[in-house]
Parts: sequence; structure tokens; C-alpha cells
Amino acid sequence: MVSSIIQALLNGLVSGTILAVPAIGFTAIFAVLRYPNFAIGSLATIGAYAGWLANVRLGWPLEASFGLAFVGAGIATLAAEWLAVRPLEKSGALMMAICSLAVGIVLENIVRFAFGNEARGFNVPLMRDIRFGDLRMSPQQVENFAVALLLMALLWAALNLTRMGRAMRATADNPDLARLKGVQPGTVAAITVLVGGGLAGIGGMLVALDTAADPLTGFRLILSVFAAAVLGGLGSIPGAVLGALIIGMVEELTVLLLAPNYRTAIGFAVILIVLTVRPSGLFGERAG
Amino acid sequence: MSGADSITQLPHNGWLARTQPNTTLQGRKFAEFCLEVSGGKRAFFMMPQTPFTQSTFNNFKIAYDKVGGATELLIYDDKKPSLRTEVDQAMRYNADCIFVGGYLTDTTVLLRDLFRAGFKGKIVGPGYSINQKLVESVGQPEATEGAYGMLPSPQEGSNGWKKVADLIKQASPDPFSCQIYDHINLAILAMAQAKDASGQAIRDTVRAVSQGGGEKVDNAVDGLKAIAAGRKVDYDGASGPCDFTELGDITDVKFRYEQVKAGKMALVRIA
Repeated sequence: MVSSIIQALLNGLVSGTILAVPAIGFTAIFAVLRYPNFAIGSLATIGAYAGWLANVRLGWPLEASFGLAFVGAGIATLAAEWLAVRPLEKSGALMMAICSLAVGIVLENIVRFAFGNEARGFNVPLMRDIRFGDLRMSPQQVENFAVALLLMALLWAALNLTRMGRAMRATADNPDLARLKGVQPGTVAAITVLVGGGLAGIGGMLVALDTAADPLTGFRLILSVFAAAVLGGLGSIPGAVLGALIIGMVEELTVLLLAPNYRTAIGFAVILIVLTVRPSGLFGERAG
Repeated sequence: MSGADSITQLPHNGWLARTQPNTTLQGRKFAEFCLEVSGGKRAFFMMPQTPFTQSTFNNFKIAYDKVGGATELLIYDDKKPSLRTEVDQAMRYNADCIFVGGYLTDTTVLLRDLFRAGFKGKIVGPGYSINQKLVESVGQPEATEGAYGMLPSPQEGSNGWKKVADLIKQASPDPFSCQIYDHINLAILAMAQAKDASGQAIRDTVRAVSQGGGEKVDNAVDGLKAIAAGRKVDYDGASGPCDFTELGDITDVKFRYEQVKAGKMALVRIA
């Protein structure tokens, strides 16, 4: 039983790290635009299919395929933002959030029309797991783990060491003050949406690499992503990372301890408890 | 066309008879095939949460218990992005056969993870998920090689089956078209037998024309002639023998067994 728990925690650590990538995208968009973009699941699916297209149809290596996953999902997010969500800005965050749900459904069905309903595997060899006694880990998991960590490091560097990153953090902290300091909110918002959506796309591709891409790849992530962001504190990037790690591990542990129909309840329970006990989450509401 | 056990267990007072095998029958057939191909007596049963998961497993278990075998059920959430921890559970059970009862997407994930985990036993699952599409979606032939898929099959090669093939102009008619052909023939024969074109007549006499011996017929035209001549008929259709229990379930059905060989689905047998 002990090794089962350690294995589940290990699996949860990896899936939590992957989950952290779209969770960062989700929380970053919230930090700057102040609404939860529930299309993030479908945008992750777009990323998974863009990566699949690059890798399988165009024969690109994985590194370049990640690039297309990022760009494809980022552009889709920006297009959805400009065409569907932004026109509702004056109606408030709730209407924008509802609109993003609708956008997610539309995007999912566009994927179904374009690619069909079948699961599609990437052109990467399936390798046997590496074993450490009773524990095992797949090389693909290790690679995905490393990619997710690298992305987080790059994002941290971009947010802390570049002018645009500082502008994004300033806008998230205090939009009016940022505007007084000469920050262009429109540009910051566009870049945040592009990067946030792109991260969701890479998250979708990371999941699809380990499993397969199908029209519901991202939909399966949405509750976990939202729970991770709420747990960490909506708008907080370190919070999203920590929240994702906790949710990833808890979800894997529930396989050992609870019937599967309660797994979904875990996400909702986390959201309910956090919003009741500590609405600002583990890391408050500050980005960066 | 539902196979859920609960359908015929409803208080239908004899108004329901179905040609789709129920999960009791399917669970037993799955177990018998797992026992046969694995040559062992230890099976791990993985299936997502569905209304028929528990009843299929219960009947699977009965067949294993009969030969002194051991089984374990793991119901998983098919919306979970990774099923590695579930596969860990399966690996720890040291099964000689794993039954994967999910749909195409989650079975794809399971087979990839079972391959990564180095599972050496037999893999069996329903033909609606273990098929050519699965081989393509898994993407690596070794991960699906040797896996078996099984599905209720029409009575391939029978006269009724050949008639359906001619009628719908398909070389290999699907089970559901065959079942509908049988429904219509049975209804016509039951009405002819009862000399009454009503639902009550079908309810009361369907078993008089579907089973119990007599002249074997595979279509309504031949059956009507036999009934008009005063002979007892026993309908054997395109989907199967069409013999019903008191509850309205069919007593037996043929299954089509296939195996992935060199990346293609190869027919093992229909029996």
C-alpha cells in the first residue's frame, strides 16, 4: 500500500506539473482581464491538435510542434477574445465568463468537424517505463515534466526580467496606476491572452503526448485547472502552480481511496472549501 | 437495442422481448473467452462508470468463480486525463488477463499505459473499442498487438444473414440491421400464428413461432406458407436463433472474436 501511495503521488506530481501550464494561462488571463476564461479547456484541445498536425501530418519534431501548439492556441484565444468576449466587456465579468463557456463549446465542435471524434496519437515512440523498485515512471512523463518546468522558468523570467513582463504584472496589480505609468493596457491584454492561450495549448499537447488527442482532451482538464487556480488564488501565478500540484496529487490519490464517481466531486469540493474559507486562495490575488 | 439487464427486469408483463444480448450473457461470454485465451485464472476487469459496469462484472466474476479463478474490478473515471495510477493497480494484481471494457478514447490511454508498464498477459475487450481505429489511435503497433476484441455477432453465413446482405446490399451486414430484420419477421409470423394483427397477438404468440421446435424458417414468406399449411415453425434469423427466455432475453447469441495481428484485425472465429 505504501508503494501504491508513493506511486500515486509521483503520478500526481507529474500530472500536476502538466496541469500547472494551462492553470498559469487561466490565472494570467484572469489577473489582467478580470474574468475566468472557461474556453481554456477547448483552447488546450486546439493546442493538442495543432501540435498533432505539426508532428504527425507535417512531420515536425516535437520542439517545433510545441511551437505550433502555442501559436495555434494563442491565436485562437486572441481571436475568441476580440470577436466574442471583448464586445461584452461592458456587461461585466459574469457575461464574459458565460460567453467564454459558449466559445469553448464552439471551438470543441470545430475540432470535431475538422478532425473527427477519433483519438489521435503523436508520432513518438512509446517507451517502456523506468523502474525504481516498486515504482515506475515513463520517459514521456519525465520529458513532459521537464517541458512544463522549463516553461514555468521561462515565464518567470519573462514576467520578472522583461519590460513587458513587468507591465503585465503592473496591470494585474493595479491597472489604473499602470496606465499612469505609460503602460498600454490594450497591448498588455493582447499579449496576456496570447501567452495564456498559448500555455493552455501546450498543456493540451503535453496531455495528448502522454495519452492521445481527442476533442475532449481539454474539456477533461477544465475542472482541475479551475480548481487549481482557485486553490492557489485566482490571479496568482505561483498559486496556480502550487494549486495544480496539490490537485494533481489529490486526484491520483483518490483512485486508491475513493470510488471514481467522487473524483469530480474533489474538484468541486476544493473550489467550495476555498471560496468559503479563504476566497483569496493560498496566494491571494497578486500575480507574479 | 439496449443490452442493459435492467430493461427486461422492469415489470413489462411479457410485452418486451429483445434480440440484443443482455449484460449477463455478455459478461459470461467475456469471462469464458478471457479464461480460454489467457490459460490462467486471474483477471483484472477495468471499466468506466456506466449503468452496466457492475452487472457485466458480476457475471464475469461468476464465470471465473466457477473454475476457482480470481477477479478484481476497477471502475475508473474515463474523463481523467491520465490513467497511470489505475494501470498501476492493474499491474499490482498480477493478472494473466486484463479485460478493458471502456470506449475507444480511454481504451487508447489504457493500452498505451499497459504497454509502458510492460504488461505481458492477454488483453481482451469489446469490439467497439478494440478494433482497427484503436490500432491507429494508439499509434504504436506493439502496444495493441495480440489484443482481442469481441462483439455479439449476427449469424454469419446463415440463410437469414444472406437475405439481409442482399436486402441492404452489404457484404457483411451489421448486427443491428440483422436484428431489425428478425423483429419484423417475428412480428409477422406471430400475427399469422395468432390470426390476429395486434400487439396482444405478438405478445402472446411470439415464442410459439420463435422456438420450441418445428419447421426451421428464416423469413416471413416461408413461415407464412408453413403456418397456412398448419405446420409449427421455429424461426432462426439473421441475428441468431431468436429463442427468448420468459423475461424476454435471448438465450444465446454468437460472438465475433478478433485479434490484432501485425497491426490488422484478424478474425479468430465466430461462435
